[in-house]
Amino acid sequence: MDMKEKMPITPVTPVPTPSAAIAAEAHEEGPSTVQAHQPEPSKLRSGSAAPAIEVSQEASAGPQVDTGRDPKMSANDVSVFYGEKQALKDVSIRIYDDLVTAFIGPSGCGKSTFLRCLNRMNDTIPSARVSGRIELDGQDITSPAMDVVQLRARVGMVFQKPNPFPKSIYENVAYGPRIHGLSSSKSELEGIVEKSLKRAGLWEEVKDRLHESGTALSGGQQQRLCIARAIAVDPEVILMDEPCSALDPIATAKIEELIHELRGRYAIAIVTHNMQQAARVSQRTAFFHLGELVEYGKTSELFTIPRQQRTQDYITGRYG
Amino acid sequence: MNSIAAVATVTRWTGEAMQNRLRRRYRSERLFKLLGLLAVGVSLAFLAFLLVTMIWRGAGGLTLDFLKASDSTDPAMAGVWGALKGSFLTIIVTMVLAFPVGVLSAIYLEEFASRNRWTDLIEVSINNLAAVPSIIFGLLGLAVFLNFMHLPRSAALVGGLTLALMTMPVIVIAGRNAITSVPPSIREAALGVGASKMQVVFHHVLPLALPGILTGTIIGMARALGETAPLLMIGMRAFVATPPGGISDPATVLPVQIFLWSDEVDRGFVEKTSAAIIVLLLFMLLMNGLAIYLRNRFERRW
Amino acid sequence: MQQGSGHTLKAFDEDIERLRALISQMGGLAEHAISEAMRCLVQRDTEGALGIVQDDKKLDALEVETERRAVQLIALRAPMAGDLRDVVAALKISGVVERIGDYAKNIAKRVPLLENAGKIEPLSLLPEMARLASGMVHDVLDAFVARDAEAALRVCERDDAVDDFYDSIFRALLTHMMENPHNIGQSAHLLFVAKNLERVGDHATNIAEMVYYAATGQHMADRPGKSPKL
Repeated sequence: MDMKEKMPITPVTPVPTPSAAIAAEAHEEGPSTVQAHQPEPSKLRSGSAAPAIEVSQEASAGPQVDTGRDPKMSANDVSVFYGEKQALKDVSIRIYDDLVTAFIGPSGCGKSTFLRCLNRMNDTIPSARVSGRIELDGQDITSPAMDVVQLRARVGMVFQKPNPFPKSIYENVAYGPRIHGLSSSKSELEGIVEKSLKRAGLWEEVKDRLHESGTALSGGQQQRLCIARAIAVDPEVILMDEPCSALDPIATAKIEELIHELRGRYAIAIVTHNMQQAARVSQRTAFFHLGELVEYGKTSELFTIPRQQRTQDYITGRYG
Repeated sequence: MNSIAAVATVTRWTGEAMQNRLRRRYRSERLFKLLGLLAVGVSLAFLAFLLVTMIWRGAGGLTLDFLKASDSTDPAMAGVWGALKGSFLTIIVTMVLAFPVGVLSAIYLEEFASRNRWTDLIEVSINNLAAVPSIIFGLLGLAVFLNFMHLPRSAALVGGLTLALMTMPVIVIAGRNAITSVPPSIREAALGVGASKMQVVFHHVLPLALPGILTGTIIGMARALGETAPLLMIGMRAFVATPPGGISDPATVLPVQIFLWSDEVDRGFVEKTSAAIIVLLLFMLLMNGLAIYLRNRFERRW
Repeated sequence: MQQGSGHTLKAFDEDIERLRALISQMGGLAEHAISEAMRCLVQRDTEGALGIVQDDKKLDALEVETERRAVQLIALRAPMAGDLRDVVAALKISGVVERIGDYAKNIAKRVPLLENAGKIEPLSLLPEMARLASGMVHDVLDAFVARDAEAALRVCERDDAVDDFYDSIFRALLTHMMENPHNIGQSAHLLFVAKNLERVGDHATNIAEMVYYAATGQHMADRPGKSPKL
């Protein structure tokens, strides 16, 4: 006579196991009061277990949640026109320190265009017109007080196709610090180059051949060189425009790990076509569609309980 | 796939009709190759004819004296040294003026000027200038440099100025093409690191565009070396016995010298003319070779 | 949130539908097991009861199959949002339905033990309770198929009726036992049968909560209900 009395099954989020993914989740999750209109998670059936889990998560939580934090960069009602065609409509978003913010969306939805607004790269396109206000540390980036050259040093960029200068590896990394006058002696410059290459995870592979051409490296190495080049000028924000789309899976994984390591030092914004990558790498995700910002929120929530139908359709592969 | 369909597929590719088609394709390919070879052969044949004729006629006259002596009325004494020095000085003046002006114009037009009706007009004008017959430039040189500015007649300076006007459009066009062909990714990378427009152009674009610019310069220089008509207009047709000391001394250039000698009645000058042609060809080969060497040296892979 | 149009990858749709079909199949088997077990109990049909015990193996096999398919779906399709919640819900529901089947099996196992008992008054209450419980299972699985959160909520409300039934049967059986010590053995069995049916009702509400979560992404609020009795 079996009297198996099993515990009632409750839809509780699993107890955190010591795996990297869960640890990362716990690291950035805090009290979930992010957006005002999000309903409070209701009390769960097996009452006592849940609060205990939340407490432990809170205790190990790292960076603070968004409310009450000053954003590193903020955009308010940003619109971009290419001639007559409107590519972005009234986008408002915040980018925070210590977080990776991912921009996802189908082709042509405006995510790359928006990224390029953040360091005024759209200025180089004659037909582009940008309206709205973008701020870095509270300062308008189009104001005369903010020099665009300085802005681009503080807000670095890594592009889709690795584009190292056709110079030596050393020169690639040293160029930025040199033109901005960030070092006062040759040895200091060498120190900056070494530090940047180490942070980009490339030092061990190239330390014996710094004089070789940057274009002789493999695709993944070239992209890490571009990241080192961006880091060398000591930026505060790093923008990445589909950095892994030209790379094989192993190189991609290395770059993703690198992004994870860099997160503590820089605010990172990454545009990606690959939703799984956005899910792996980011803590905040913004979904763009037809030039509009459809939804923005914690990555863990956007990919499990999105609030907008369009977001759900896109991430489950029901789009188009 | 059942066997009937399989057989049908196999015969589609191995059957008679396909074989004929293939044979025809290969035949027309071979024919084209032959025609191409013939075309090359014909052009080379003319060149070879010229070379052979010149060498046959003039090799005897290629002596050291010939190279050291200046022009004289006596064919036995005439030499090309004066003309050589004149050509050299003229080319120097041309390059010193045309190269910087041409390159800077190309950079400005390509990188800094805004795109509007005026810049379009300038682009069209420059393209047209490159096609203007050289004698027009000679007239221009006569009117402006000689009659208006009263510069010394027949001097390498004036010749150089005139040829510079002629060569500059070529350099501008080649320069613009070279600059346009620098991939935008390099520019974006430099801008992304915080380089200013000037730094992008001079640290990144120009070094990569240099091979193309040098190619254009070679073309312009080759043309200038061989020009006769405009230099005749500015007076380099006179008989000049002593080689020029500086750029303001009266001089003549090699092509003009050849022209003058070919006009002479005295049969003794026939050999001299041919010898001078050989010298001119060698001179051009030398300068072209130097330019190509320089271009290859600066070539970078990106 | 609607599921909207189908996936761009049709095979993904097929995989999810097959998974859900398995759950429906399991549900049907479990419902049938409960009603059959009750019939055998009332009619003292020992043969039938044995059949139910054997059939439980089918349910176990289906659960294994569901788990296999769900894990495969997660690995190969990387489902997100609604799809992911669907798959996780299906995985958990299959386990619960398998347990419901086990309760039916448990009831069936007691049928041979009551073969020689005489008429037991409280027994007449049990079929109705079973009907209620199996009705809850039926409806909650319908809600699962339709992804209907409201229907799931309504199923939860019926658990109180099942609990009330349990309370009455408990009292009736206690009285029966006190009347005659001879009755204690049979009554004890019936008590367990009633308990099993009450657990079935509870499990149905568990399934309802999973259906609600899969459909909305939110957890059901605590039901306003009676204080728990024995």
